[in-house]
Amino acid sequence: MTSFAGQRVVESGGNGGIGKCIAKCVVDAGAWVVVGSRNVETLSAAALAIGAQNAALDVRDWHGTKSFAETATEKLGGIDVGVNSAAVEEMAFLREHAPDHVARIAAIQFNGAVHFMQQASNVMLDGGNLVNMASLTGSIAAPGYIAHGGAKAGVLHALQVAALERPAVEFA
Amino acid sequence: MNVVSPTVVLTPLVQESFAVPGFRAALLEEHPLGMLPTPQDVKDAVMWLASDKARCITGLDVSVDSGAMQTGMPRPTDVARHAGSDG
Repeated sequence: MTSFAGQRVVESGGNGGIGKCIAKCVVDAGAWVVVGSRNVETLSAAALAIGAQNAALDVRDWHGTKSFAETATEKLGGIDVGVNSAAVEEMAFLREHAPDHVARIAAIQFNGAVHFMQQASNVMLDGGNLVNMASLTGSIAAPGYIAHGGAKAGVLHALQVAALERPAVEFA
Repeated sequence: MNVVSPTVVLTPLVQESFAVPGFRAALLEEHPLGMLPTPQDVKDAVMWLASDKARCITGLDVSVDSGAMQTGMPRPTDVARHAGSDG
């Protein structure tokens, strides 16, 4: 197992599914972890069960994401690794999707990813690794994923921009 | 700064969707490795990119897709063609 001994990790979407699976594994690998989720009713118990701390987080909200990053930094004394796995799984075909479908999907899948990238970067003062969950639907066409895939394609492009703006290693 | 891009992952929700006749067969047809990734497969890719072992990697999109990038995703007509073959 890859060691995360002493690493300070923040993760969005660590309340369930793949995000929780990731959070548990980095805890087991020695990391100090703060997980965030908008499902605050279940977040505390879920975090406790895997040995992580928690803080409320709705990545759709820029100010809330900033507060989460700052709270996690206070709890852990700094951040070394950020993982954004907040997501919503919802498909709809072009001809039949609901009026608010695109806005709701984009708010969490694209806006949320950029908010997390920004706020995590801003508290990861010594570099460190940031990982976003994207999707194959961001690269290839998948019926029913016009909003989801479009938002994930945006994440893939935002990654390229962010990777240029925030080198993993800064040379003095 | 990197991303992980999974294809359809073998979660309980996806397993429920296999109740749709033809969906599972159509899906597997588009995954050359003949299997869907599990949450653990996705987690392994994230753990690698989050670790010091990936310290010199940035701007990378790691597809955890059993080869579906090369073949595409099933269309409704593919599901209909397979309906009846896997219940």
